Amino acid sequence: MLNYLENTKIKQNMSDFIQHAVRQNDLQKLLHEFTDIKNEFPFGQLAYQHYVAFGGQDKQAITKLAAGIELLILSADILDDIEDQDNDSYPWMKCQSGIAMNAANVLFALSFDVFSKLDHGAKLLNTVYSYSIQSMQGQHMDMTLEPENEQDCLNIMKSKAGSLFVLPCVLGVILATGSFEKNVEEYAYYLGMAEQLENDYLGLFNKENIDFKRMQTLPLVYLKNEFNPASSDLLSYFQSKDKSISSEELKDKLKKSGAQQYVFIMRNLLRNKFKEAFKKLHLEASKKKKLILFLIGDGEDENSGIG
Amino acid sequence: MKIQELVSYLVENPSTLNQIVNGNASLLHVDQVTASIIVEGFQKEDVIKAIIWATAGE
Repeated sequence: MLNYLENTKIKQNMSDFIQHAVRQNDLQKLLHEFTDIKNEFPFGQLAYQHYVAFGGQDKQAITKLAAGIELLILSADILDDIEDQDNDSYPWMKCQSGIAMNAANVLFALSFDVFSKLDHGAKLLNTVYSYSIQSMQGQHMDMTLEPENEQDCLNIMKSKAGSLFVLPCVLGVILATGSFEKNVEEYAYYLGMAEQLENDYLGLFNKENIDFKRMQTLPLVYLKNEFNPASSDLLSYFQSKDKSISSEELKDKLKKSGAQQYVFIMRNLLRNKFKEAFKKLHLEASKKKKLILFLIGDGEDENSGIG
Repeated sequence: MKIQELVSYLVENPSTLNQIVNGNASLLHVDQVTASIIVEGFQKEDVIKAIIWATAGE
């Protein structure tokens, strides 16, 4: 697990990369503003944990990789917020969207420069390219299609969010070994989708940021069936401007509709597929245990049968 | 099998869920693991916990 010092190093690397590559003062300042708000680096951590599990030992190299990944993810987050017109308080939503988009493009290009200079650079770049394109296609589907059923929604989740979760995991392995691990890709997709489903569910409680037209998530797909009056009430609530309902009331309605149970079940089915795929990983038992504890270790039943 | 239909049925028919839990009924065309995940979905109060990997560096 990354400690505070290592997080600080990732942040410092991100800042250094910007400092060296971007000479235009105003743009450089803006990019520092964008990166300064980040103090946690979950995607960098995913890469780090996989790098260590697969025998990587060069702390400097993995810190650079983690910083490059965080730059790339930040660029995706900025573009996602602009494309979705999210009403949040991030600095990129407070400046002109054109300026923020250009800054996001700089971060994206900068990350490619970082990857290219590491060991196995060509393989890293090829992999980043592949998952980035996949995620962008997922984003396009998310913006243009209205999923009609569960499978449509899962496909979009896999492309848009799953691919960005897979990316750091496989990059960490490539940096450590020079090889692509199919097993890692498989389990990371499932876990990434499970995490996205949690986010989508939590998003239902975000009163500031609910745009029904853009809420094409799995819980909404369930509600749209209108199996019961609670589902219909919730659909009306999400479409209305009045968001006076309390979180407890909302939670109660979600339970009465079955949406809460449905999300829990779908999330655990994905996590179960993750565990099954993880079992196939060829690693020492102690390393597998450490890795899975990082990925899903939350005191549930996650260690059973893994090893 | 359609999970959505199954969930909506069990929401409206909690007695069926009890019968499944007690072993007096089973879900057709549903394997054991999936069935236990479905039952758990109705028995656990809090669905979503914090995202572990996102806060692991704290």
